Amino acid sequence: MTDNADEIGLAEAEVRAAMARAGLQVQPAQFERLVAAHRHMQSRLAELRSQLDSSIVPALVFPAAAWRKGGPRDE
Amino acid sequence: MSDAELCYLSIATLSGAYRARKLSPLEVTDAFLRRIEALDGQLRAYTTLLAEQAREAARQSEQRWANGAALGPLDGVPLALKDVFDTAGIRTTANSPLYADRVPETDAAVVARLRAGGAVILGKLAMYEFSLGVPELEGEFPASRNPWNLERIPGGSSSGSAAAVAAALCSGSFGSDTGGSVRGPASYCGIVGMKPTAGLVSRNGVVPLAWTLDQPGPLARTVEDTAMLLQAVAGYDADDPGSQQVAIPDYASELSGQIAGMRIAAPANFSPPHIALHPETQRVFGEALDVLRGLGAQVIDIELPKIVAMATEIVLIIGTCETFAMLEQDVRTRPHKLGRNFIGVPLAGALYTAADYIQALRGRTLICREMAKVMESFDLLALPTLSSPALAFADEPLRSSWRPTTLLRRLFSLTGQPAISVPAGMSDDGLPIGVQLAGRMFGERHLLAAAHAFEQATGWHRMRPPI
Repeated sequence: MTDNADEIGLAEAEVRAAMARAGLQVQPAQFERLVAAHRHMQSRLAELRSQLDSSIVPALVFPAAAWRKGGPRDE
Repeated sequence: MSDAELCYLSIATLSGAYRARKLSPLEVTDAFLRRIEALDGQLRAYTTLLAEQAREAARQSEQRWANGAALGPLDGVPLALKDVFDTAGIRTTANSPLYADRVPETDAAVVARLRAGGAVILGKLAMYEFSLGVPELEGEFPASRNPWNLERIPGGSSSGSAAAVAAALCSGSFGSDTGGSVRGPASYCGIVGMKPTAGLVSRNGVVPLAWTLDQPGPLARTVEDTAMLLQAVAGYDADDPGSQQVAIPDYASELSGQIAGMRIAAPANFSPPHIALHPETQRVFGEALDVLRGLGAQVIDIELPKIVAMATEIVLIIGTCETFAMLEQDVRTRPHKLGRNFIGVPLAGALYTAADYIQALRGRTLICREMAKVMESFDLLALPTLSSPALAFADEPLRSSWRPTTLLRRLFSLTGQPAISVPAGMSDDGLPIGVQLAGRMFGERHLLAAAHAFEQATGWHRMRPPI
């Protein structure tokens, strides 16, 4: 992650907006940690989106369902 | 036999001694209660001790053994539970001020099955708040300490579950594993800890952290004991929507010790430069692979698909979103009731959009598909459980929960595969280091057999902490 002031400002604004939307208040130290986490995770989400593309991949809730058809089993 | 000698007997040995009428559940339970009184002031493994209930359960067990009516191999065996398992009439706190006075009306499914098997429940064990806080030495719920070195963390979140077993303050325990919370503490404390396949053990009555990732799992000092604990609780439960209907083999009777011919993958993704490992962890892991080769297994270096590296972040997105969904009202209206080092977890969940959560679930699907292909060619995966021996309390970097080394355990939380941590060596300063094996879905039988063979070949399970 870079220390680009614009990126930090954008992340701070996004965190403030998310907290306001959810009706949450945070302490200053907590806010700093959330901004750092948000910046890291947004960059990783961008990487994830690039690997997922637009193919039909269902959202999986319980993993056993993904392995049941065609997946290997112990027996 | 001294209290320490009694309390360090394995579950299998205790059960055999009860059957042969050489030991009684009551004398064993009393030995544990004396040992807890002597040592737990330092260790702080127990949140709630159930001395009288345990003695009464032990008395009833003694009668059953005397009448030839024992309920199973765990009848009269003293166990303890992470304070995340609901216990009827006994407070279940998840180590959070929010639940400090919470008293469930019914037992969790795991607890009900243990009681039905005659187990003696000694008490409830310390943990990280809601299974993902940060250990704090002071306050209403002080953190448990590591019996190998009281200045080190026992790992989390099932910290008391591991510390109590390692110090012989119970014969075995149960924890819950959302991103490695059974396997990590087991590694730090020099014992065995297992995350079963998702859907094998009911989560009904377990205080959730993340509904689609949580799995209850056993901790014990030997693989055979781990198999016995798993046997007692495995099986379908209609009250858990993730529960799967599968045949349950006799795990303990199939610990053949033979792993010759097994194909074990050692993924490069879990080694430097991809993940920074402590030099002694790296040494112990290399030695563990040599042991597996010596037992006749084929150990093969592989590279897992690129998307596997996203598992840490995918677990974080899914986990924090689900935690926020669970605690949303409390975070909004009673934030002072959540620990200052825990509240950041649900707050982080509030940062994600619905699209982010769905993309994470899609990523989970892809990773499961990729791992299913990998497991067509291999019986097991081998990797370190943690990146280092136990850290000092001050060094616990949980606040940076996206650190890459968490991938070691989170991958299998995501895919649902079973994984077990087994003691594999010691650091130069006397701290245990574990190795992790992961298997195919519902492949606990092979996983336990391999872990047992490794354990018998190395003998690290015979280590005892200095406490």
